[in-house]
Amino acid sequence: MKISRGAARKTLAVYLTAGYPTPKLFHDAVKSAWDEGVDLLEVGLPFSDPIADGPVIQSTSESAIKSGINYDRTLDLSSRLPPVPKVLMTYANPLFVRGWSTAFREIQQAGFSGCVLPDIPMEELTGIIPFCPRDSFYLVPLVAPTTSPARFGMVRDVARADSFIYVVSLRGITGSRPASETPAPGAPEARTRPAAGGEIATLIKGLRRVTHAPIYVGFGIQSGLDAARFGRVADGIIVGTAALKALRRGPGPYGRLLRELRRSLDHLSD
Amino acid sequence: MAALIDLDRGYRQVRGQAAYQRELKTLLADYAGRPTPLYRADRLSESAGCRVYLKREDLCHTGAHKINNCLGQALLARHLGKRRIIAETGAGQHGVATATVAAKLGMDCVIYMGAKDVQRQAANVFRMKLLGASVREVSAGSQTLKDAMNEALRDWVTHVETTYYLIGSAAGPHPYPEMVRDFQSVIGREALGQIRKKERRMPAAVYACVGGGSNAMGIFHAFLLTSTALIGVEAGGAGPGPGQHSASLSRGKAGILHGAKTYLLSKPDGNVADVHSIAAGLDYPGVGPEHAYLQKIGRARYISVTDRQALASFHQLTALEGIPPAFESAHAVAGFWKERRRYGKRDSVILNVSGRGDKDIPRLFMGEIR
Repeated sequence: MKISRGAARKTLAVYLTAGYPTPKLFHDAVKSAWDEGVDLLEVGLPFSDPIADGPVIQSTSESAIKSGINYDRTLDLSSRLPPVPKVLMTYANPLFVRGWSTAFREIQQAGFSGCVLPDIPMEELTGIIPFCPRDSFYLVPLVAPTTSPARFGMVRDVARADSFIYVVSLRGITGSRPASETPAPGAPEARTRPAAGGEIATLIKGLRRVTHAPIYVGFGIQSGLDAARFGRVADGIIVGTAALKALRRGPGPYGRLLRELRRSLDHLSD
Repeated sequence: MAALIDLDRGYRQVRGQAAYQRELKTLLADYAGRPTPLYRADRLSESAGCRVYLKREDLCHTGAHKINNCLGQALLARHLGKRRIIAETGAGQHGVATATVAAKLGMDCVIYMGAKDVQRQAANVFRMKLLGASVREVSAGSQTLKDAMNEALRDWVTHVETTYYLIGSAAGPHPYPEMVRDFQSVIGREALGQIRKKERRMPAAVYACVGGGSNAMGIFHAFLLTSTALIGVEAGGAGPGPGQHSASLSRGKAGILHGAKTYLLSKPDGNVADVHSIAAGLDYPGVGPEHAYLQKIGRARYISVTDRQALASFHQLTALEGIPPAFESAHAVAGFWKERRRYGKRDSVILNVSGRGDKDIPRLFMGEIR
């Protein structure tokens, strides 16, 4: 399965928490993402302890769990979505207790082409890959500004056919602060610390030397400006917190954000 | 992951340095008050029918064994050039020990603590603040130790270059379980030497409470190659039902949380289960992975006692020996008490009194616990 619709244009990926705010509205949000030209959907299977997520996704996860969304429900809801390519984002334990092989098979059957598991380092992902279905199913390596080039070889090994590489734009969690904004010096409350744009560009350049896999940048992308900044150096961007915040305000603001991001990425490919 | 790799490298480097070891040894002696005594509890022995010794970690500076690990890791933090220390805490003992060491070394300190624990361990919150730490209340999830750890991990990845995350339990990602065990193993080394001197033979058993398992790992380690039975006592809470206890080894299954694969209390869908214990320091759904291993190979045995049994032992030790243990440590006493008939008159048993009960005493008077 191809992971993005057009090879020429930059990929716009959107993260949504499964079943949030309700299963119906989640379905609608995916549909409108499809209509607005989103290339890749990242469905969040909510987990009780989302250590890589900031307050927004913590709260959407908690609310989804409270309303009964779990592993089974997430796969069920996902299997009935519009045909947008999708990956499942969750944490290790829900899949581990299910059994890796069984879980990956079921996830693939629900229409996913891969998994993003932020609490499993690449060192451990390589041990889990053998449990993946043989054909077109991948685990996504996450690369942060702190990832040393010495580990890039592992990134290449984990990024199998069709996989993308998820570059985390900042030191921190998914979150609240625009990546274009620099926190006040010494501000201890800053939830995320954006990596300098140049730092990400260098990181991506280094990755390109070892792998041809597409590189998408996520964490802290909130606006068309951010999208352009990272879209310029990467093959696409992933937006999560900002999309959920917009979705909370309603379908109007949500659609406007997606259009803004799409336009801003399309400008780059023109 | 990069941070963990750096930490592992730094730890291995510093561990072999004579200057580091010397400084740590001096601080453990002159600052923390080591060695702690191994005390023969005569009246408890008499009522139990065997020779009961208490390893008095409650006499350490800050009131619990936590300082052993904090000193070791804080010196490592300084070696790594970090100026800010963060930590999670449940009962507040680790938070107090961390804040203490940070004050001593002149480092910034932030302690994450679940909102529920802030309430039930108020005395320790006050102590941490006095020591100059900023205490961040975590109101997510179950508002206990696990959630404090989530938040501390989030802080760490955000400020990874300047910040050292000082984990207090033998849990979490590698190298923490190994490192914490190494720093706490001083407890067992001392106890082994002390009991040899006093009894001239090995003890029949060692009992320690297990939440994440740092004090138990610390006292067990020196005894691993001996014939002494090692018993970890988990929190059986209010009962065996889901959400009522935090007995991960007795009732949990394999799971993955906080960067470790270990026994975990999960719901069938893989979400982490709610847990409960009267002792905030045991109120954790996972357990250090080395305990999982020791259980699996049969070298240590893990049992659980209820809140009520722990509380009874709290009163028992207070009344018989004049030593009010922390509610956590009272589990070790209760676990032994439950099994006391296994031991003969000439057998000796060591109970690890990992901390003192001062922090819990107010709760007894506030009508919260009867």
